[in-house]
Amino acid sequence: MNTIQLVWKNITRQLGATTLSILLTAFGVAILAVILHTASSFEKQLNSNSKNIDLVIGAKGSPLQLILSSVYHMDNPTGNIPYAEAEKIMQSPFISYAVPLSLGDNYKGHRIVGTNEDFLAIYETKVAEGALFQKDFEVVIGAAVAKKLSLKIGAQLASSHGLSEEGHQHDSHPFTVVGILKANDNVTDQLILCNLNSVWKIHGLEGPAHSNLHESHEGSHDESHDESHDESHDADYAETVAAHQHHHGEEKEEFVKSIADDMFGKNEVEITSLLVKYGSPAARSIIPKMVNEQSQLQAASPALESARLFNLLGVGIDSLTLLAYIIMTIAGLSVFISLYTALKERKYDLAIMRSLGASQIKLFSLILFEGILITFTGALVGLIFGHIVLYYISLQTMSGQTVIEALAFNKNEFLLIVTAVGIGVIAALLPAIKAFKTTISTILSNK
Amino acid sequence: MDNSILLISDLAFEYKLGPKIHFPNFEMKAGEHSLLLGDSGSGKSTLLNLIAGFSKPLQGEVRIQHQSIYQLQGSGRDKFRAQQIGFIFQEAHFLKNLTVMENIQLAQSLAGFETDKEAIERLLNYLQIGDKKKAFPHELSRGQLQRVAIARALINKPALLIADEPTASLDDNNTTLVLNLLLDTAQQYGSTLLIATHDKRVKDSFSNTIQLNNLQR
Repeated sequence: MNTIQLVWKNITRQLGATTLSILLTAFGVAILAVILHTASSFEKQLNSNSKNIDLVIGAKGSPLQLILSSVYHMDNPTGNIPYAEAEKIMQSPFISYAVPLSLGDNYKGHRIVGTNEDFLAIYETKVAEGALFQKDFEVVIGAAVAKKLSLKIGAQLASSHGLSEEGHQHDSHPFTVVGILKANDNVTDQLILCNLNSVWKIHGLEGPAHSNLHESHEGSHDESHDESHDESHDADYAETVAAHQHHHGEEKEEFVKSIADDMFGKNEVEITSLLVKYGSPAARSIIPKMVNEQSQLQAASPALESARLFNLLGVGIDSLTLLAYIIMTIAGLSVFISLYTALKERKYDLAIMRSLGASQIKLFSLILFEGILITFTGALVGLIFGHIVLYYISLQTMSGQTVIEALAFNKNEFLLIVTAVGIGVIAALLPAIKAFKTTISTILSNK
Repeated sequence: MDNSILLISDLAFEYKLGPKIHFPNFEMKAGEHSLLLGDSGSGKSTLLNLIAGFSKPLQGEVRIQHQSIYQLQGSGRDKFRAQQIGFIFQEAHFLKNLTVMENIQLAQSLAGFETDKEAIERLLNYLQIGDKKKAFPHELSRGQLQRVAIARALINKPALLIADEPTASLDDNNTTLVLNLLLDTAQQYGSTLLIATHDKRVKDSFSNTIQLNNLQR
């Protein structure tokens, strides 16, 4: 009958109170574990997705919305900007590179992004399998897209209009998968990339000279066109435009800003936004000012907007963290009340143990260990529960690496266990001192 | 070295809100069985508490096997008590959430000995409660509980066995049974036995008595 067995017998004797204390501790720890993981993962994602982007230029509107839609691909775009205006900025000597983005369609919820090869440079990724898109209607897909939808090189996919799965399908212009990106644990895993011309064509518009669209800002991209392929698509333009107009007539209530909506009205090629990397420190003051002076454009800084977003979310995170600590404090109170009220009933047990040779320190440590065991068990249950929740959250993101991270033990979680145990020690301290002061003669002789 | 097990000399105790009492000097040799007699409130329980080291005296000395119990401090005294003294209380107190077997095992482990199930079973069988080893205290009668208390007090083969009114709450049949078993097992385990009582039914079984009435106050 060692100390652990004795403690176990004692805490299981008052199963209801013990279970309540364990659950309260577990609940607090689970919330903190989820916050800890998601906050660090969120910050990591924010940084990973925007680290090489100094500025995003797009249509006027909410700068946060512009950043969310163009950098994190989470929100609807603010609108479109004329490609001609974007090209002027792309020529600026203050810019290292500027990558155009054209949004508007999706395939099974994954955004199709019209862009050029510099997009890969921004996200420091490369094609792991196959090759980069060379022709219109060729796509390179993110690693998570390939895994989730079981797409392989050569697969054909028909995009849906808008940024939600329910949009009208562009059946007449299937895309062909020519490459799969390496897994990056950032937004590129979830995207489908093609050239700008594909996006314009699918919405019934012809872009400017193809060479411009296929070239990167540095002009390194190889020009190669499949004229016969393009001609076959040209024949479908009128049909596509008609289909789009029919589709949008039906869904006037739905607010899905896409490149096509604006392009049909203005009959000029537009893009959604431009991702800019400064070429010199002077650009930081010159480029945003230059852009914001134009009536149609706005420049937004991912760093500023991400910080704003994190601050906004920070209030919620702080509130949840506070709530978790309140719950853990209540758990501590529950442990204290449970141990303290049990002392009255257990004073004979403690006195008997003293009479049988248990030292005062032994009784003190026995009660203290009970408090620690309850909160430690609660912390372990909480971490397991928290990781189950994180696992299910990560399954929604469908990123293999995120799933692994959700199951991995974060070193900060050790601090959660220490905190829970600390609460257990504090809660058990007073009952333990009372146990320490147990006097055999007054309790057992005067019963 | 002689075979002195218990030596009381010049022992006095002062109650917090009560009188100061002086106890008579006496000595018990190995294997002796003595009865501590006195009216209710005469100080019998106080003397037993002093002998076991549960309370501190105002003055004097208690020596068990030549070791002054008050010279031992803290856990040293606790360990000495666990190994050398078996104590049977008037009311049999047990840890409610432990079985009979576990309660006795606890006495072994707190004394720093390895738990010995076979020894416990033998003792329980001798005390005619072998079938109760898995029972919880609340499932036993008073007579059975007192026999478990005897088993727990003797399992570590203490030099001195102290019993404070062990038959006070028992009927005549159980008093005879418990008393006989107590004497037999104490003899079998070689323990010196000191019983405090004012129960007249017990007196006839002892030739040695220590009287506590009319103590100097």
